[in-house]
Amino acid sequence: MNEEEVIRDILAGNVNRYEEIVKEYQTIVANLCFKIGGAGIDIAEMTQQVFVELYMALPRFQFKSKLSTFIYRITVNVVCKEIKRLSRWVTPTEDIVPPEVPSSDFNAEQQIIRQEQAKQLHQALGRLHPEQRTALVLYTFNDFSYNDIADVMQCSTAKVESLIFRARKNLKKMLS
Amino acid sequence: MTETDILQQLRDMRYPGTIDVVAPVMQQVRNKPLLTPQFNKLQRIKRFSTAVAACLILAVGINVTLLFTHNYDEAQISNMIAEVYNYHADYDNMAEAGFGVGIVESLY
Repeated sequence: MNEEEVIRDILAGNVNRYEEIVKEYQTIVANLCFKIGGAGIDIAEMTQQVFVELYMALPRFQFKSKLSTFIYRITVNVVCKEIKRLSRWVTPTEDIVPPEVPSSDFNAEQQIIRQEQAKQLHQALGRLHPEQRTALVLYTFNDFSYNDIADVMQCSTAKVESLIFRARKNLKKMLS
Repeated sequence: MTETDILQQLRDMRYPGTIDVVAPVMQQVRNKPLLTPQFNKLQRIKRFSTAVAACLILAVGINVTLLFTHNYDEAQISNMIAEVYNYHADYDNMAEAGFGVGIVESLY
């Protein structure tokens, strides 16, 4: 898909081509929402909201950065807003559904251990400060560089480095 | 769990459900007009004009309040207002200039 051509087409009034962008990125956006927001938020609703906000923001897209970076920035903003709203009355870290992990390389016992570890990791992620969690998730997401993360989170590279360092340290402490 | 394990698990973590939001998103975006850069510019101009108008109204309001709170005599106030509006201190002209009848009457 030639993203620039698709966006220019949408801006010219061909709204139907927006489907191509949604199809291409919906799974990635859902995964990112899940990792940053946890199971306490409605992932389908969040994903939907991200794409509606992306559509409204398309006229502002300058074609200087990658579309994916632009989408991740909107996703982070939408999810962080939702986390702030939810934290006023519910933080369901204890009831989080364990995430599925690829199972092909493991036997049954290893798979159970890994599932358990994944569940613990997800709960520990939920206890991190949202900024630390976002930076760490982006760091392991598509192997982003510090600059990419700074671009998505709209902060300095030094701050990203510090956030990731603290997130790793805190996670290690919680899981040891 | 080692740090490498933690990072690897984070990489492997996936949303457990399936996601398909194409239909609801398309339904929503079809009803939303896309805000083009030209439209945004127009909106900015509109907001700027409103702000300027509000400032002008506020400035006039403050001036009038100051006039009435200072100990000017009636003639001074009439002269000042008349001067500002380039009118001679005339009852009818001042009323025409937009002053409420009550204000003009109070000046005289």
